[in-house]
Amino acid sequence: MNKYDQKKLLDYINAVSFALIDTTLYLDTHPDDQEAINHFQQYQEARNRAVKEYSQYFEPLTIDSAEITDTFTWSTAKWPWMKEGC
Amino acid sequence: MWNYEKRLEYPINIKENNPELAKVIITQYGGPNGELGASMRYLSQRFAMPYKEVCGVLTDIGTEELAHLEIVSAIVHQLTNHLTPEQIVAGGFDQYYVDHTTGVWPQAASGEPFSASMFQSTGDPITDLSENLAAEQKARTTYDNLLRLIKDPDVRDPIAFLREREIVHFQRFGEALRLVQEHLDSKNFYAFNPAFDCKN
Repeated sequence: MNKYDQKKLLDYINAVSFALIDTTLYLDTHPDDQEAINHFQQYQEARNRAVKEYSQYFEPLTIDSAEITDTFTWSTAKWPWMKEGC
Repeated sequence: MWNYEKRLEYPINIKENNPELAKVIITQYGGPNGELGASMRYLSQRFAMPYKEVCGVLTDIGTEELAHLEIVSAIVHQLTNHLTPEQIVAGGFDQYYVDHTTGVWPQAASGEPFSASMFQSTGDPITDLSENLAAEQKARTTYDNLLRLIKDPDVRDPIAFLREREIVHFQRFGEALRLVQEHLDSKNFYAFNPAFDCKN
């Protein structure tokens, strides 16, 4: 996995996470909508898998999924507001 | 309780800095229709909300607004990255710069600092949700006004995303208001405040 794959995987995480956020808001006011619940489960699983994979190959996105060995990459890896190359 | 996630809800990669745009976009961080006021409004209102589904709406939208204030801050940061003193003066950014350099601080485009008086938490579910519907529309109008001033697609795209979210939140708050009203007397929704008055 290289830098290109990293961007691709993060784009994928952003997309499935957004689907999950939007479905969550819908379910808050429609808690018994089975079709929306299926949608929620599908995106939740996709997101959990991708976040875990990202932490494994690149850097941690969440403390829960962080794989820490010799350096605390949670703080040493780039922060999300930083410009590319800065 | 919150957990941080090390990504933006919508990625920001601005290639050209632009202090003039930063000066107006900062209003959606600390201005009267901004994201800081939005998140504080919804997260504060939760405690007087007697209905669980509506607490869900307030929590989840309030949390998404925290992600939005981070997006707006990232835009302001990247628009003002590595400015020269000449750019600061030419872009009219000098008044902000003397107090904050290029740090991000919650203020309106006019320079007025963020204040809790920009939002309400009244302890009355109908009043609070009506305020939230108005707040989402005010934020949508502000994003529309910003979009008329922005040409750079690196800045337009995330602003258009934020604008769209205001519309979704408006829809969800409309449903939340309906859920509250279903618990009340349809002949007079205002006969009592379900968060304060005791019905029996």
